[in-house]
Formats: sequence, structure tokens, C-alpha cells
Amino acid sequence: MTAGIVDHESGTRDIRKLGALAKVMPVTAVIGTLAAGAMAGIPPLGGFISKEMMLYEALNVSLFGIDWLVPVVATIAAIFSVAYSLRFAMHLFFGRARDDEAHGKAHDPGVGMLAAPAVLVVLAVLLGLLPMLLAGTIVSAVAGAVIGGPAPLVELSLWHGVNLALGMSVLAIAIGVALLWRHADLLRWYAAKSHADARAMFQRGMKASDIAVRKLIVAIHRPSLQRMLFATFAIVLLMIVDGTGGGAIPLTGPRELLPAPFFAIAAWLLLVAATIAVLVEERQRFRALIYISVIGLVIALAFVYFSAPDLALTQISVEVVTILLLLLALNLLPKLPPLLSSTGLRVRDGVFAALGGLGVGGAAWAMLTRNPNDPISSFHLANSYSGGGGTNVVNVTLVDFRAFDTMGEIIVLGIAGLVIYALLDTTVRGAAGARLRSWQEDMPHSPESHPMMFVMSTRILLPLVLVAGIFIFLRGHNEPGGGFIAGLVVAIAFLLQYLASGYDWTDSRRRIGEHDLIGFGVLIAIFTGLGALAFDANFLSTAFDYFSLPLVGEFELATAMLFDLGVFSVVLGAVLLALAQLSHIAQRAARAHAMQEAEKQEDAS
Amino acid sequence: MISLEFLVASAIGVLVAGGIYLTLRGRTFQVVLGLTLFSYAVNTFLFASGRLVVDRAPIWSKTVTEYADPLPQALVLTAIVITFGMTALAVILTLRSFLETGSDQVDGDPKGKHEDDPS
Repeated sequence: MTAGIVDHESGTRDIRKLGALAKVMPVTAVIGTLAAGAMAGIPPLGGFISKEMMLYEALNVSLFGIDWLVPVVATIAAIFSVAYSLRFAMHLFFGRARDDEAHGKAHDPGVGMLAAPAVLVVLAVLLGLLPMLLAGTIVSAVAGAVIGGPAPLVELSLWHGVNLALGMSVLAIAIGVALLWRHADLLRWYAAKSHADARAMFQRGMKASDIAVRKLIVAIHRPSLQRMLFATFAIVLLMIVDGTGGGAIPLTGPRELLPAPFFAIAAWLLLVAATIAVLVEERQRFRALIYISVIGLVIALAFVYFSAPDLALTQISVEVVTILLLLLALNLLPKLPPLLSSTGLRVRDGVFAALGGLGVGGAAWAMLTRNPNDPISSFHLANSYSGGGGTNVVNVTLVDFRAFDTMGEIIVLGIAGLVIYALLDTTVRGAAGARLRSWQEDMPHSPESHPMMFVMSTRILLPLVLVAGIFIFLRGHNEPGGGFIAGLVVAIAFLLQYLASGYDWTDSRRRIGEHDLIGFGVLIAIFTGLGALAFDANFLSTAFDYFSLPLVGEFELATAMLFDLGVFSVVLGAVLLALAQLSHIAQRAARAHAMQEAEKQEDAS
Repeated sequence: MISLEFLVASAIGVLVAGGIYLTLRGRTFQVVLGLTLFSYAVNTFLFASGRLVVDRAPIWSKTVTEYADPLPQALVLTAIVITFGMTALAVILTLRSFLETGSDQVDGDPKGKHEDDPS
């Protein structure tokens, strides 16, 4: 701090230009000299006590089996700290002025700058005079915390009697003073010697490690997604093979199997056919999307059949938004890419994919034909109604038993939404913006961009879907439904408005921003969780009770519902943010293109 | 006789095979489609870890004693929603990389550029 003050007032911190500042900066000189004295360990300042203790303990330490090593090193260190502290004080504040310009400008700064070092220096002086009173409790508490046990007895005092540590201290001060006295000669001697340049050594070291790292990266990190993925899949496949004990464990387990009814086989055939169609028609991108949605539908049906109504509802609504998203993106992506992979590569990947499918399918088969090993789920089933206040165990698990997971997941979803916004909002700039502006519509568009029937029916549907969304949200605790599904359903209702009436019409009628929805959702989920702390319960514990109102009858209110509201809000916000932004980008591109066309026509006429 | 377990396990296998094949293609859109197939497979696999149970939805009732395992269902429910977030992010990255480089090659390889590209 003193160095800073001197620099500030004199304009330089080069000690070779400074000197005799005590004449022009008396207060700073007193503070700086006392501080340097404490650093050098001159009695009766506080630094003397700490240095005495350090030297005394150093006497008891043996390193590499050599008893004198640590005490000697400690004494040498003490010599140098005396030397540089004294040089700091003497050459700065005393002696003769070496540079008239710096000396002429310098004067004591205001109280504001002096106060901070002054407080510390006063402490350093008092610590030397009244050590036990000022620092005894702090030192013993810190010492106790460091050794992790009860605080040891600490005796702080200036005079320890004549002992070896005192001798080392005296020696250090004496040699330190001598070094300062012969300082000029020492500097000349040092300058005459050739010495290692630390900066050059550092730069050489950096360069060598840089080259080594580059070589390593080129060796292991091929800049090809395909190669990296291939390696990843291969390792996972090997792990599956390894997990079966190289075939030592029988593939099929003892669990009793369920016979497949006719429609299950039909659905399975549909799924397999759709997957093959995606692979065969991968270049026909719009058709591939239709096949993908068929697969999603079969999965949703499977969830219905296998007693997972919540999953089926979620899957089908996610399916709608995913396909919408892919369609919007495909609008801007090239529709028909040239065939790039060679036949050999495709055969290799095909064989590899078949092996992967066999491996994972085999693992699934091995799992499905064995009985579960004491699942923890029985706890969730037993405590859902009595502890969580809801009969839909899946929903109670989401908002109560495993609410911490859910909280993390909605945060991730919110981040994904915001990243998408950030990626799309900056697309209009630079090379991407130029490509967007020269984008050509390559699909024939309907002459009527907003068909009347579609517009009217979606507007009538909106309030109905909103009511359905609220219904799904409210029943979620006890029947299939809840925040995730309600959020998706409501998002689809709004997306239909964007789809039917266009981005501008819908966006101008929107009152709440998607960013606000995401932020509100995360915050309300966190605060609901924190609310539990006020009642001495764990984070995210829920409470519920039953109330009754005239006409409505008895109903339940649970704090989990507030948490679910957060989930609802984040899902709605993130879905709308992603899709509305994407549709907006496409529209911006189309509009820029239309303007160009109009200009061309004007030029022609 | 074909069992439901066989249908589910083989469907997972088929989806994984399709996912591997498509993600190894060089074009971003195929990779996104492959990711979608993968997420169907993974979600179904995770769900199946609760084993296949018919007509016993985990809606608690005093009179019912046997239920489907609710825990994998809860995990998969959030996984499905996160899958959407992941797919959306992958799609937007795909789109942005195409717009920035004029190529829909996964490694941004200019060899894959389209002829009508302005740059």
C-alpha cells in the first residue's frame, strides 16, 4: 500500500529514482518505515513475534534427515526479508533525493489513502506490545482449525528469554543490515555475473509444451465427427461384450414372459418398417421426417400399453413439437444433399450398426428376461399418497421424491432454450446473415399463406386447449398429467397460432416473453424448495392439506403444485422460445428474399 | 410364440442400429435424425428397466396392490422433455453451421458446399 501511495504521489515506483521522501511525505514515511520494520521482524513490532515463533519451530523440523537444513534456510530467508524491508524504508524515505522531478512532485496523500495502511501499522505496533490481548484468541482458534483438534495453548510475547531463535533473529538483522550497507557493491557484483534469464526459460518451456500438446492433439483428436463417434460406439460395444463376461452369462433370464397380442406385433412391424424407411430414404428429408413421426407414435402407443400413461402423454406432445421444429429447420436446410459416403463406407457402417443394434438389443433382452433386483420403487409407491399427498406416483416422484432432479432438468431445459435464442438471434449478422438474405424458397408455397379455415379453427381452439392444459396441470398430482405435459400442450396451442396466423400477428398479441417464463419458472421452483427450510424441513420438502369450499367440495392444496407451476412455466417458455425464434428466422429470410424480388421487378419496369 | 419382451428388445436393437448408421453419416440432418432414433431407443431402454407390465398404471389406490415401476417412468418423463431440448439445440447448431459455412457437412467441410452458395 505504501508503494502504491508513493507511486501515486511521485509518479514512479522505481526505487533507484526515489529517496529522502521523509522530507516531503513525513506521515507516509512513518507508516512505511514502521511497516517495513514489522516485515523485517525488528522488535518491538508484531513481526518480531511471528518471526521468532517461525524460527523457533524451524529448529524442531528435520528435512531429508538433516536437522540443520530447515533452520539454516529459515535464517537465510529471514536475512533477505530484513534486507529488502530495510532497503525499502531507507532508500525510499531517507538518504538523498536521486530524481528531482519525482521528489518535487511528492507530498503526503489525503486521509482516505493513508487510513488503510495506518490501521495495519497501528495493529502491527500494538501486536508487538500487547500480543496476547489482541491476537491470542484468534491465533489459538486458527491453529485449532488448521490441526483439526482442540486449540493448543498459545503464548505470545516479545521476550522469550535468550535462546537459539533469538540468536538467529539477531544474526538475520545483523547480516540484513550489512547487506543494505554494501548494497551498491552487491548490485555491481550481480550485474557483472552472467545469470539465467527466467523469462527466456519460461518462454522456451511454454513453446516446448505447446508443440508437444499440438502433436498429441493431432495424434488423438481427428477433426472428424464420424471417426470420433465410431470410436465411441466401438468402445461402448466392447463394454457391453465385456459386461456379459464374454458370453459366460446366459443371455436369457428366468423371468416369465408376456405373450404378444396381434396388435403388438403389428405395431412392432410398423416401427421396424419406419426405421428401415428412414435409413433407405435418408436423402428424402421430408419423407424421413414422416417416418420418424411414425416411430414416435408407436413408442407413445407402447407407453400406453405398458402402463405408463404419463409417458404416453409426454411422448405424443413432445413428438408434435419435435416434428414442427425439424420441419422449420428443414425449410432452411438443403433438401437433397449429394450422396457423399462411398459404398464401402456405407457397408462398413451398416455392419457396425447391425452389431451395435444386436449388442444393445441383446442387453435389453437380458434385462427384460430377468426379475428386478429389489427395486427402491416400492418406497415411492408406499409413500406417495401418505407422504406426498398424491396418487399419481410418477408425478409425486417428479415434484416431491426426486424434485431435485426435476429442478436440475428444468434449469437445463431453460438454458437450452436461451442458447437456442442466442444462436438464432445473431444469425442475421455476418456470413450467416448473407446466406439467409439470399435464401431461395425451393418448396412450392400455397398461394394463401394463412388459410381462413385454419386461422379460425386455431383461434377457436386456443381457449379450449388452454382449459385442457389447466385441467391436465391440476389433475397431475392424482391422475396422469402434470406440469411437463400441461406445458407442452399449452405450448402447442400457442404454436398453432404462430403456424396459422403468422409470427407477426401472434407475436404482437403476446404479453409475456419466453425469457420471463423461463426465469419465473426456475425461480418459483427454487423458492418453493427454499420455503421448506422456513419450516425446518429439507430443501424441496412438500406440504399438503385438504380444504373444502361450497359448490367445489373437498380439494387438496400442495406446495408441490407451485413447484409444478415452475416446471410448466419453463417447459412452455423453452418450447416457445425455440420454435418461435426458428420460425421467425425463416420468415425474416423469406421477407428479405421477397423484397429483393420486388426490387428486381421495379428495376425491370 | 413371440413375447412382448422380445418385441421391445428387438425394437430397441433396430432403433440403435438405425441411430448408429445415421449418426455416422456426414450430413448434419442425418445426424439429427440418428440422434432422434437414439433417444427413442435410450428412453425405451430406460423405461424397460422397470420391466414390462400391462394394465397396472402407477396410480395409487387402496384396492390395488400391484403396480408398474413408477421410478423409471418418472426418469423417462423428464428424459423425453430433455431430449426435445437436446434435439432442438442440435437442430439449431446444424442450421447455424450450415448458414455460417454454406455446407451441411458435419465437420464444416467446404467440399460439401452447394452450388447456389453466395460466398
